[in-house]
Amino acid sequence: MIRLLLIFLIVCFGLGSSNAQNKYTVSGYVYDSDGGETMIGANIYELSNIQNGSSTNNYGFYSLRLIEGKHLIRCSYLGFQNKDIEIDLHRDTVINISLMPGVLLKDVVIDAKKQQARKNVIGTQVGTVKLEMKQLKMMPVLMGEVDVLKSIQLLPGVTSVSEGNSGFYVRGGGADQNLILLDEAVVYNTGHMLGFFSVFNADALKSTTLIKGGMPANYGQRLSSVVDIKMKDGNDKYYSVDAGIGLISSRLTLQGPIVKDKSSFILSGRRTYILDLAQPLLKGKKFEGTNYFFYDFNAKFNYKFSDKDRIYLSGYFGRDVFKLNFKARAFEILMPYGNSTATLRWNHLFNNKLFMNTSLIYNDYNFKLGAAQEKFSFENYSGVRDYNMKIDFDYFLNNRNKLKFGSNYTYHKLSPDILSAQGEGFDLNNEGVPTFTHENSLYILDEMKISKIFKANVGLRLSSYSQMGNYTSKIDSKVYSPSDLVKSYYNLDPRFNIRAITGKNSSLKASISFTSQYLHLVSNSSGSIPSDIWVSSTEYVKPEKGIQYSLGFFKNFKNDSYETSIEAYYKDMKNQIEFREDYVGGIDENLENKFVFGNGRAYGLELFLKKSTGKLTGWIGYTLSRTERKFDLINNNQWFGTTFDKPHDLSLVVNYKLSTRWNASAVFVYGSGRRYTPVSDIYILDGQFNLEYGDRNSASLPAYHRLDLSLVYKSKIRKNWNSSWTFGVYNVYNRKNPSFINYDTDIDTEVGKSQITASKITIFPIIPSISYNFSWNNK
Amino acid sequence: MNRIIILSIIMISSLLFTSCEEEFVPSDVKAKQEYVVEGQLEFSILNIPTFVILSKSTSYFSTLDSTLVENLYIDDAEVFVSDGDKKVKLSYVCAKDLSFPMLFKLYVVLGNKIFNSEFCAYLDINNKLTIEEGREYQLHIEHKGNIIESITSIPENVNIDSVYFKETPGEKIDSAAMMWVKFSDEADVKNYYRYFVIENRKKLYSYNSLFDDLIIDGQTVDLPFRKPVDPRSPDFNKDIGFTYLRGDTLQFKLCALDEDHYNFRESFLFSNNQGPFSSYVRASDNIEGGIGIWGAYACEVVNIIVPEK
Repeated sequence: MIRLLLIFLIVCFGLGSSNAQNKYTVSGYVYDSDGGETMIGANIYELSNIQNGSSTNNYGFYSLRLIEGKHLIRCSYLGFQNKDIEIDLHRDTVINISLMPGVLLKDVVIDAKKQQARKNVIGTQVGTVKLEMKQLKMMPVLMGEVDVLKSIQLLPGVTSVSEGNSGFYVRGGGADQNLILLDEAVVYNTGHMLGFFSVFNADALKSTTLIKGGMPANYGQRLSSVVDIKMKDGNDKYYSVDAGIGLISSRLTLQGPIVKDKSSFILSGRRTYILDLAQPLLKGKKFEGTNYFFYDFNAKFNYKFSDKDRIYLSGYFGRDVFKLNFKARAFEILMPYGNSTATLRWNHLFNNKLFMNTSLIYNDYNFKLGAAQEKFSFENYSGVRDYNMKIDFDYFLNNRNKLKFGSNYTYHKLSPDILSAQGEGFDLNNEGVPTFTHENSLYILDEMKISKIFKANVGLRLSSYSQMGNYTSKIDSKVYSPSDLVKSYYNLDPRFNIRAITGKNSSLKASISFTSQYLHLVSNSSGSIPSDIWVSSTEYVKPEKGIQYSLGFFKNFKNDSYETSIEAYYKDMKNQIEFREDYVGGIDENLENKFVFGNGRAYGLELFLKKSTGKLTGWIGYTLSRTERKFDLINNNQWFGTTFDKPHDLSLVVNYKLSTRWNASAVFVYGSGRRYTPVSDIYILDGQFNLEYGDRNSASLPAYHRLDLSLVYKSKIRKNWNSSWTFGVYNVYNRKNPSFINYDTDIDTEVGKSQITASKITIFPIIPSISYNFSWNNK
Repeated sequence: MNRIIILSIIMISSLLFTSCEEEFVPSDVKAKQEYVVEGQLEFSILNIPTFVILSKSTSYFSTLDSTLVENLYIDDAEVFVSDGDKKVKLSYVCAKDLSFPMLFKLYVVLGNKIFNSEFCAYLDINNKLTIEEGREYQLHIEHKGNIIESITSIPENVNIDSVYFKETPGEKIDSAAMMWVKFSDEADVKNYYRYFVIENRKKLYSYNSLFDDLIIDGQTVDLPFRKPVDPRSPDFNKDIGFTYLRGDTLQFKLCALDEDHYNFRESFLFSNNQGPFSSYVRASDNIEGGIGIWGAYACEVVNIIVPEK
């Protein structure tokens, strides 16, 4: 192992070493001049030699090596005016750069957009997309709720399985194989209202990045993709209020300085209320007191001690609460579930080359289902809780080598179905025992410029996972106490991305990434539902392992106004987990006995065309793909398509700026129909007709397609007050896309005949929406 | 603001209540036409004969009239059951040839279909098999060169302490009462249960009447037992829900069953429903060469009248 690491380091630094005589470093942070937010991924480059550049890291820090003397450097960021700075460099210099929002100098903004678009060609990343929050807010969405995760589903290589569900599948990976991070904290359940809405309140978010291939070594824990969501830091210049009133929920965000230019806060909340409003109508009725609502609360605070030290404290708390009251039977059900996360981060700059981020992270997801009838009550609890400590370094060795290295330790506590029941004279429980595990990782990567043509991102990630007691072995019945090690796993995952410039505006990129995953969400539902349980790798459940090969050709046209790409991928997955075909979803003390294990493969071709400048912007994405699984105990060990295997998937997103006040957007999606397992036979048992199923997922529903439209009207811009109306129509031509199939027995007693009939159920017909948004500030 | 609220209510309603249903013709799927076994042994004071009903599955697209249904049953198989000591060939017997007491014994487990004169089954009509707790039973069927086999066992019997009634939960209904049962679960052994009710000599379907000892392992407990009826069935009395009318005569039977049998019964119940968010469930069978169940019960029977208030 040590030898491998040494070879890796020698290769990296050997390839990338350069003569650094008479060179100095320019470093600093890039901020949004309007609110003081640090800017992720801003470009800083020498105007006379644009190849000589750098970009800000996840915390807004950059470092650029230049030879001694005079230089003109430019800083650019999408949606902001460029800033050109003249420097006469004779020593290491710190320059913090503030960029102004680009509402005035249109051409300069377009240039920044083009620079951003150029990253598509010159970066090493394959399958990486950064979503712009401003554009997301313009897009038509279900019930007017802006949803980051549903927008991700419009990108090539990303599919959803059921309509309206925010659960998604990336390049053939399962829904649990996406690492979804909110300010570095893993979010285990991303859906409200059975997944129809995501838990991410767009008002509180700064940026969202999707990595669907060529995962860099600083990310791990999941097999398929990363969705890295950063919360806003809070405006450190002035106070502002942003709010919105929608059909489903209302939102309110407050932010402002605590100490101007030094410290700021942001508080953001969202809550549904429609059934609260209906409560008076339920009064005196059979189901009085029945209610459902969800809410989210995001908070963040930061303090800048100096240019070298800054701390951030951020958190998220969200809940869905369902309450059913059946007064006549004194029967009630209470089902609360949700996530809590907290992140404490310390950014420290050792010098102008070495940046450190240290994080302490807590996150928790729990699901409770309680029922009571008079003195009898029962409660089912399951959840996952993590305590995580991580340290990440960015070392800007020189302009050819940018190193990242760090480590991560997580203590997981996974509580399976823990059941208790109380009644007259008894207090019972199933003695459910949580699983306790330690997960560690070490990584190093080098983003190296090998030559003008070649650039590479080479990394290694070493991870270990240990299952601890209390535990009774399912294999040999050995009993382990809390301090006993039950089972350990180790994995070394190399990552390799390379880019070759093939022309003025084109490049060829390739990547190979090995990934490992130790936590698994095993579900027998067609999408993710809140009662699905996260389970740990144990002596019985092996870690999932994956390898993805990607190859892409990237070309920009018309002076970078149009980005295009063709990417091909092949993904191989081991130790995939499914429930047995006879699993009914009940509570089971030996849940692992209900699992079956197998392999997966996915391959596809993604075509992408994006236009990001001009009045008309948007993209077209098309994916041709197959996603298959193979299990000993399913389908006679033959390959079968998954429910999210969509051979054809097309998305069209268009935004047209009609005037300074009006903006129109449209989304059209077309996809192969969802696979399902058909009924092949009927048989008689227990005096009734029963269903016998054919091969797994061997039939398909009709093709899915839908058109959504939205119109945004902005009121007259005032100094301290802005407002807008968003009108939307979901499923404009009322396409009856089936959500599921229902079987029934149709009996004609007069002629003594009967037949099993099937019907398709559509949940989402045409749905109009309207929302009103406003903001105030004391600028 | 008010307009938004009103619009919100309309919109939410449109989402929640206007889902539509249309006929759907699935693509043609090749039928498997498998052998279907419905076989049962019971250890109880009721002395119910061991039986096997053998049929074949048919295409999903079939229109089921009486002729087709009749043709699904197989009457020319050879069915053997071995209790470990002896191998007994079951006789193919039709309802019209059975005595009324024997018909009623079968009614208790098979329900109304026993009164159909065309009904036939393979029976241990003379109780040649030794039916006792802890014993294994092998099923062997031969039909047109095909072999169908299975094995099951009778678990240890249940220990009922008492069956009694309490007032209905929630709003009190004077004419009805909730059944409660006190019984003991054997410790450190995984136990599975199912209960059955004959109400005024009418067999209830035993809907949702399966449970295991997940939270009662080794305990003596008093638990409310819902009437085992499907709330979607036309026979369901909404006024009293899952309680019993006072004065009714009940035969309550609490049975133990083994794991394979329990798994089949549980998955069988779910196999006929494919909900909006759930995947399909394939009934877990213990039949080699076919589908269905060869299962056994050990049952304690209590006859009781629901007391007047």
